[in-house]
Amino acid sequence: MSSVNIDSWVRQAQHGDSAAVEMLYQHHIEAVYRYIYYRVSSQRDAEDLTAEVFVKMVEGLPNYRFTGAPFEAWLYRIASARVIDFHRRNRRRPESDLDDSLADTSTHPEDQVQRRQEIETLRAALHQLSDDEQTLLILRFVEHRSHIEAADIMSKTPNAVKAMQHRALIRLASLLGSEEKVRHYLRGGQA
Amino acid sequence: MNEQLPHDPNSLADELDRVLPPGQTGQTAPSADPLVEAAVRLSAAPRPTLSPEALARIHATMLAGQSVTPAASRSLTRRFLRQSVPVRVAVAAIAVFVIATGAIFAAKIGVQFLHPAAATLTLPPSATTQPPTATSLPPTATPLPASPTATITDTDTPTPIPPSPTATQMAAEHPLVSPIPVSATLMPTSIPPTLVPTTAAPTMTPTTPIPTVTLTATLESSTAEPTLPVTIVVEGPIQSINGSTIVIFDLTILLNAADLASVHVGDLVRIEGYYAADSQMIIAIRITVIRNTPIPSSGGVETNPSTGQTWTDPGNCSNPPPPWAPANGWRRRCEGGTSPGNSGNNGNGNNGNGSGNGDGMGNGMGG
Repeated sequence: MSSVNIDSWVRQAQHGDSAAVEMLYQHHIEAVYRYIYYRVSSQRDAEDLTAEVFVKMVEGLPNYRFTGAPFEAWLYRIASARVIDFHRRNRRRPESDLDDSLADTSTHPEDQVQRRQEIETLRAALHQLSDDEQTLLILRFVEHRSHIEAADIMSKTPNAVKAMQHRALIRLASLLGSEEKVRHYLRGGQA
Repeated sequence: MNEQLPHDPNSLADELDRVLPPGQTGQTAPSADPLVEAAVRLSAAPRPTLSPEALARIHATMLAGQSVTPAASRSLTRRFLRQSVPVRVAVAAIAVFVIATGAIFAAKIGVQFLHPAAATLTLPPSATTQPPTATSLPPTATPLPASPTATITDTDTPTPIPPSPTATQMAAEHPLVSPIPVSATLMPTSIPPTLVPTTAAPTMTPTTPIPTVTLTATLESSTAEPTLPVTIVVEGPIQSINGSTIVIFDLTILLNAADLASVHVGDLVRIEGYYAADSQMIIAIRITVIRNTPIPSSGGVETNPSTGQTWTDPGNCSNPPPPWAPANGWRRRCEGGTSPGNSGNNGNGNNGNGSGNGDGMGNGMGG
């Protein structure tokens, strides 16, 4: 979807066009949900926070100003703020719950368990990174955005995004248990 | 193992773009590069999706928020300003009321301060009294318990404050001042003719040689002010002593004889009392001398400007000063605080200890 269309929807939504609001919602709901899903530990919390983001979007649309940044940058900022606020409010809550949002058609329970374990591992590792690093890795490798798109959304330069990606992946790889390989990498690939 | 691995952000970015092209999803081969491998793992992770129920719930929540939010063209600020008009009007009205009330209260206090005798005493016209005489009821007479005593009705002040006995004695000594507004014990001597209310003249009929008084007094306020005398505390240096009154901060305060003997001009005192009912004078109930004026013990030299004659205070009472010398220190030390006639002589009346009111002292206490 081109940014021209999105900007058009935003303008119409600002003038009270509920159909345009609906289009914005349909276009961004899944991406916002995935972003939040990886940043919190519970599917239910991710759904609630996603709802909050779109309520905030509706409330904030009248005051939205076009600054040249993509509209989704604004949505991701709202989502990030909601997540940070959520973690502030729920520091002592249990980490995760049963998750049925992983669309898994596999009939093998072992596969399902393995996939759940994998995503829990990735979530736990991501949560060790900074907010910006988490956002960048989700944009780049969950949403498959380019460096330039990620830079636009995060209001950073592509070079800054690449440097942040480098740092974030080193930490993520370390957290995912590739300590030996990371040390090898940091030694310049020498065995 | 000596593979070439990306070592800087740019080469890593290039490698990632090659292994995981933006906008494409799909299986990728495992990489030997741990950073690329971490990115591949993240990219290959299951993509969570919202169930239809969750989508419906989120949609409903958003629509609820949308229904609360009016037309998008209305800014929140404008909406707030418009919707808060009644609240702002109410706040403004409350503020005006508070300010007005404060002004009224300040005016009330001012009136109370300037016109303390706002209360008037009215007696029933049927009451018959006989003005007491000094021979039958000396000022020092023990106050008679009035039976059934005066009945004070005060519509504004539910609980009348009874005065201290000292106040009653003070009133007995100074008949110009009426303690009636606060008196639960009515002394015949304390009802002088000057206290006769404007509406009806109280009369008193003694039934025995020691007259007992039976009357009903109704205390009414001419305004909405409290009718009891104002209790006031004054603390400061005595500016002057005139007869039985002293002046502090230009406030005239009536003292009894015992208290009067213990104070001097310049003393720092604390007076607790109340305003007399019909004057601006304050009746002292209690007096506390906070600090006495230092009395020079020696070294004082007085010179008569007319003749050049000098007199030196020896520090004891062996050398009385000549009449022309104020010598207040010597006189206070050796004559008990009065200096009859001296300030009348030379007219300056101020040698540093007092404030030049020797005339008043001489007149009032010199007998």
